[in-house]
Amino acid sequence: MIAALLVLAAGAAPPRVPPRSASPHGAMDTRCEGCHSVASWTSVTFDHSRTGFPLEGRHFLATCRSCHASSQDFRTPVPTNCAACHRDVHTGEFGNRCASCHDPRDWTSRFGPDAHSRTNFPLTGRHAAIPCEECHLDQRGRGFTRATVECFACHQADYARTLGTPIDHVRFRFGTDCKSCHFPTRFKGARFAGHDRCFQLGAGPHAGIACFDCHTSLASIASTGACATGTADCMRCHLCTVMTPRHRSVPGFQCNDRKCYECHQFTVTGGLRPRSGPGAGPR
Amino acid sequence: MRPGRKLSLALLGATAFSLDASAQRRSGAVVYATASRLYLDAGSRDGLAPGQVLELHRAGRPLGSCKVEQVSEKQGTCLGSGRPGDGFALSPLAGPAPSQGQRPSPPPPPAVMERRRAALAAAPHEKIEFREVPGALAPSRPRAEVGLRHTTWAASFSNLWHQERVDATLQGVRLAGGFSLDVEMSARRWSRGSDPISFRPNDQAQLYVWEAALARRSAAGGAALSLGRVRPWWTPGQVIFDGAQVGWRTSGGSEAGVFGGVVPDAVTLGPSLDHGTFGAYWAGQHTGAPDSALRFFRHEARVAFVNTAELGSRVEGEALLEARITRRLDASVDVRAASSDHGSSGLGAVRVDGGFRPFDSFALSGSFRYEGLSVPELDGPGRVLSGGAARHADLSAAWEPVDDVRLSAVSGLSTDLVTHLTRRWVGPEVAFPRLFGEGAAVSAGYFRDDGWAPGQSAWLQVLARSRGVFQLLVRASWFRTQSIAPADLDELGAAVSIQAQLGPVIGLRISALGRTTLNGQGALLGGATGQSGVLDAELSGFF
Repeated sequence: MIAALLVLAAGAAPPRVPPRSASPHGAMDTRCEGCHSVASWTSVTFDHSRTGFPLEGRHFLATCRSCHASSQDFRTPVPTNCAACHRDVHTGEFGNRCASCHDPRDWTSRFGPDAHSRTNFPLTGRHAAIPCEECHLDQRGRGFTRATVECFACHQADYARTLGTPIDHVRFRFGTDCKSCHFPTRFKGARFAGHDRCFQLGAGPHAGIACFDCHTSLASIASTGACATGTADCMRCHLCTVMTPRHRSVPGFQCNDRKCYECHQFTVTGGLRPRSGPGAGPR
Repeated sequence: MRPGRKLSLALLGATAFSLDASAQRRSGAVVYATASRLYLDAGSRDGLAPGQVLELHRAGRPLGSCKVEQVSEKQGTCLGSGRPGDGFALSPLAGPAPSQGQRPSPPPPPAVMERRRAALAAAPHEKIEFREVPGALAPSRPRAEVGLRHTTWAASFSNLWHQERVDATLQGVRLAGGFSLDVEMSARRWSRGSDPISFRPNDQAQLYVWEAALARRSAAGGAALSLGRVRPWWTPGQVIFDGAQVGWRTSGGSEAGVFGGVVPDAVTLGPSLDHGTFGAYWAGQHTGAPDSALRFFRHEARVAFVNTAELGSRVEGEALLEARITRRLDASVDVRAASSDHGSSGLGAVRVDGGFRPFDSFALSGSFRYEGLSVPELDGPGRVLSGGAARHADLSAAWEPVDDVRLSAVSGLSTDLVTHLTRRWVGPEVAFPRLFGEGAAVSAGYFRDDGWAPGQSAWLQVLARSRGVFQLLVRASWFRTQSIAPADLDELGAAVSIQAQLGPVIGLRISALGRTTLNGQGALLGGATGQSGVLDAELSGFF
């Protein structure tokens, strides 16, 4: 009976409204329709770009709470610099300008060969397509310790690898300024820039010809700088059986290497012209 | 009558009484509240009408009043303050009860709804203020990221190089006892033909672990601990180590403590007992009021003994200061000095970054780097390849004369202090960051270079995107470089990158880069030219 009375008493009391959960947005005036739609309460369509911080890349997929975690009120300012949310693996070496190398889509670096030209070492030729660690060897700090910009410092081993070959850089005392002869695409196909002074290879009919297509040896080329090396072998290509009949009308013609050069310099300024007298040539 | 039957009758009576009370409500309640608006569980059916004033009460005591704003059949809104659970009296005389069968008016036609949506979209929003929040040094939310990646490097006259890798990052994964786990690692497998290489030529499989630490840090402050392979995040310039970092945090996010451990190998990151480090650190920050001059001030310092293979034993001191002054100026300075038994004492590094925005449409930014140490790099295990001390500076200005147009001028200077080789560059850039709404962006630039490798370069870049789903980037570039080869070097480059979001957590990126180098020849693809390229594909998941 007591229980029945209690139940009756409870029924007679004004209906109690159970307290609902607090507003997820805190104490702010809310225009629900600004973000929510009748399709789904959780499908929020707020145009964040109008706040001055457009949600680009992966930010677009992040939940609101990922950034607005410290407050229920979305009006509370949130830091907009990258370092406020993302830790810096470079420990400050590159400052706060993350966007110079990183894209909002992910943290994979976008610092490519084009961007590298804004350093002291433009990535030309083959350098544009090699892994970063080929030059930046220290893996601990992600700080990209400065590799030297001097060719020889990286390519000492390549220089030494010529030892005992017909182009033994050490024996022939070649210099260590690699770029004076080599293109950055490959070591083969080197060009001796000073060669054009004696015999043009940069253009004309002998352009791009390899050293050993003409020379029997490269000894003394770099050490003297003189045009006379005595190693040019013109007759290897220009056979006497072909050349002699062509020069029947040339007085004093002899089919040997030295005689070729006395008339055919192929220099940039001289071109193909007879020399005025016996001169130095590739003998 | 049996007690059970009595109870049933009583319950039946109570239910009937309650139903009757519900049909003739005498009170209503607030079910939801914002700062100025209350949402009610009563509407026109209960006699409420717009403009009516309701007297609110809480726990039987008068609270104040609110003014009915809108009503539907069963619900209503009321302008005023209160909170869920507050009650109010309902009076049958408060307003005309709707007749039985009266229905709410139909929704407005689509055109009206569209007009309302447009008006809402055009309403001004307050811009986000550039401001830090206290406790930014607190542990971030848990995050996991895994990436599968394949890269192929190709060049004419050369074998292909391939690399497959798995990158994994765990950040702040919560464990028992208040500990969390931080991991960052990469496993790589190489196949590189017979070309001479400089980096770990004999290691086909490589594993790098930059961080694998158990950490305990609370945003509320208290003891702070990291244990394992530690990447000391807020310890400027400190190399990673295998050991421990112990400190004390304040509730404001500042932290001070000590650390110590052994330093892993520079090339392989393998554990090593040959070298070590220990020291003390401080990290703190101050956040000003939104309208204060000093909005943010960060200060970190480190004093440490560091012993590494490349620099020997050193005592290093480093300090980092970063400040944001109003919303117009920000600057940071990082200075490192050291005393060493290998002759590398003195100023080790100075790094200065600054940004100045005198107007919202104009910004200046610049940086200066002085790296005083000639930090040697290890050319493979056991050999040392000297890297250069260097000095670098850059300055850029950007102006947005109208919306969606950005004009920039970029300049820079870099000097290798060992070889004294210097390069300078300057040039304009123009960008249209938002074409077709947010669907596309176009930018172009030209640079003129001077110094040991003078030349010129130009580029054009087009970006097409569907926000959050797809992005296509195409870039074409041209370079002419002098003094870096026996003849002037002309190069043409092209890059294409496609990024697609395949699902809420899966992303795909495929990018390709190609270069052709003319080697002083006129032909684009002649035998004397060189071609090189990189193909990169990555499937990544974010959780």
